[in-house]
Amino acid sequence: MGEIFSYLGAGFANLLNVTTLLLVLMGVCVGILGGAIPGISPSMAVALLLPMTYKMDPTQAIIMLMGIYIGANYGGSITAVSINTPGTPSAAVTAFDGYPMAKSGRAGEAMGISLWASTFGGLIGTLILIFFSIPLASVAIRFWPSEYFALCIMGLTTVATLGGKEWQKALSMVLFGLMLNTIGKDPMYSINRFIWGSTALYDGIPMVPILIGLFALGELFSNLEKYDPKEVKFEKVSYKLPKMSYYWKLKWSILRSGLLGCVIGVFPGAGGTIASFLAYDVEKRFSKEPEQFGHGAPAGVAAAEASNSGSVGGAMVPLLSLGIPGSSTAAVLIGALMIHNLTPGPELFTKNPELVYTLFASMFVAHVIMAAVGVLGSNLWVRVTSIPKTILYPLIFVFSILGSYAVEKNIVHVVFCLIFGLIGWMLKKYKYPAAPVVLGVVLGKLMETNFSQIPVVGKGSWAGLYNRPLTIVLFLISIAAIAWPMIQERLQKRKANKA
Amino acid sequence: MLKTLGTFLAADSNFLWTVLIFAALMGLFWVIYTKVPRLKPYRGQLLVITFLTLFTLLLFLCTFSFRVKGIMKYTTAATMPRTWCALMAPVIVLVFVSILNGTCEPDKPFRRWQLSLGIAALVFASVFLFEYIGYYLSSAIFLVVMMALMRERKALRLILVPVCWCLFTYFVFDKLLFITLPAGSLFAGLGI
Repeated sequence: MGEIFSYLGAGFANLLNVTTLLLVLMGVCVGILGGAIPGISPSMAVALLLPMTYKMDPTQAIIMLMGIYIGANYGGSITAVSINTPGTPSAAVTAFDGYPMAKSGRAGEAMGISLWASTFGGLIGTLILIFFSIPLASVAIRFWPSEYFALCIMGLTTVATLGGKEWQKALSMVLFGLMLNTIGKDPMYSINRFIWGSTALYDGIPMVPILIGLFALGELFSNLEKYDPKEVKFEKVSYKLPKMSYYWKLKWSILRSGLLGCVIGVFPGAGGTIASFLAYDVEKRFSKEPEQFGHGAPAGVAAAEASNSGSVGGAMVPLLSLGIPGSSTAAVLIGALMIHNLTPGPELFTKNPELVYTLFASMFVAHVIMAAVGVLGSNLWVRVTSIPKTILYPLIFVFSILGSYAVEKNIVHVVFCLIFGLIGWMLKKYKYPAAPVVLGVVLGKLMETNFSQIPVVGKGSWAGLYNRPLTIVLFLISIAAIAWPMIQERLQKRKANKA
Repeated sequence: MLKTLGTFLAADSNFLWTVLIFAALMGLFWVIYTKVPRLKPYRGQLLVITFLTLFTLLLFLCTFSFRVKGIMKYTTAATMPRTWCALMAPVIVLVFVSILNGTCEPDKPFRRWQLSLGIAALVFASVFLFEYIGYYLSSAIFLVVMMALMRERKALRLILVPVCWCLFTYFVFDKLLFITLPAGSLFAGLGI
């Protein structure tokens, strides 16, 4: 324990320079701004800014992107409360009670709750991240290849369980991502696969264009399809935040939801949206006035925002300790680590401890900065809704083009980005989730390397796949993760037939 | 037979043929889904899963063309792609069944798809122009045309946005991050 605190102290010390603090501040501001703009998700905001970090020091790059992730999760609530338009998918739950509060003249209360619930929920998530990821990483470093392979399978199959009613589509997208990952040289024998003589594909399809294409351009093409030149003018909202003592009554809601959000965030594919829906439901059950939920219950806003921000810390646990992203934004962060030649996973704690602990420290600082920026700019952030789409969309396009070009200075990458943008648009249109594709692409190489190492470690035997207890447990969880939605579907059908 | 077919499809010189066969099959399925009244409301979703089926099949066949080295004792370069293809097969069936038994909602009609596709074409043109007229001019033209396509009529915005963007990219990317953006062969040829 003492070691953790001393490393953490060193992490805080690393933050104590103007450039780094400015980068955290910039990340948080960009994140809040991006999150507040409807149509820009946290993953899109991080993906768009990712290429700008290419020439930065890896630690500074990661902490800036982390600041964006944290800021964007809170930013989504601003427009959800003020104009009933969630800036991010996870903020949809915030709008359930936030907007009715704003309509009844309590906009300041709703905005204040969302800000402080986000801050404290995020801090809870960060604490859990620190105290869980370190022991988990020390266990994971002793994993055998078969255990790692089974762990990746488990991570990918839970995506299907969390895929909702159309879980089959989520599963097909995971496999599509894994297949895309097999394009290029194979990691064991350097044999070219599916490249049709193209030198641009030797190293596989590059990660950054896939991320920007699927998350940014796909979303943008989809928005353009629904674009109406007659823009809706929103009423100007101005408000005053209540005093700190007002929030004390919500302490248990924030604590419960922050913890729940963090736990849910750990599961790959779950993310902030599922966390906020579940926390909202739990809080409604705990409430003495459940009928108030949906009509302006402060606890509803607190639950949604605390869980959403708590999920950030949760999503970082498997990313840092196992190299498996817990959310689509975490998958983009894996991409960021990779372009800086860092291997996400337990080795990060032994090879780059200064980066890990500075990141932990930066998460605390980012939440404090977010609270300060939220209080100081409370009336400013609401105005992002007045940015005309005729300016916003073209700028996101040129930023995406520039981003996909800048990393390798290769025009082919821009073409890849555009192709994945069109794929992302079609996937969104026909309700095939894009995030599992990214998870598949991110985990593909790790899985292939570990799978190929199983017989090497086992001296020619594949027994590692079935005689190591942890591997068996992980495989069983994976089977359960796929079987559960099928069973659930059957049960629902049987219930419907009986009714 | 699989090896012959795989070698044909994976050959560098046959890439165009592979794309054409793929496109023709997609077109054929589009016709089938349009003609069958029960399938028509799910045409888009079915086309996505058909794309995945053909993609899986293509990858599976191409694995037969991979070189096998003497050192490959336990796995080959084809092991993992074939594993994913094998797993994809039942998943594709599950998706087809879920679409056909009405678990999935019918497709939503396209709205302003011409704008999205037009802008995609504009991006392609802009990327193509990178090398000739350089990044700055190409992106400025892109911004003006896209804003015009989105019916932006304020002249000041049409001028200021591209100018500010070019200044921003020049100072941030060129001066701050030292990422030099293409100046364009045309200007290089003119000695500018």
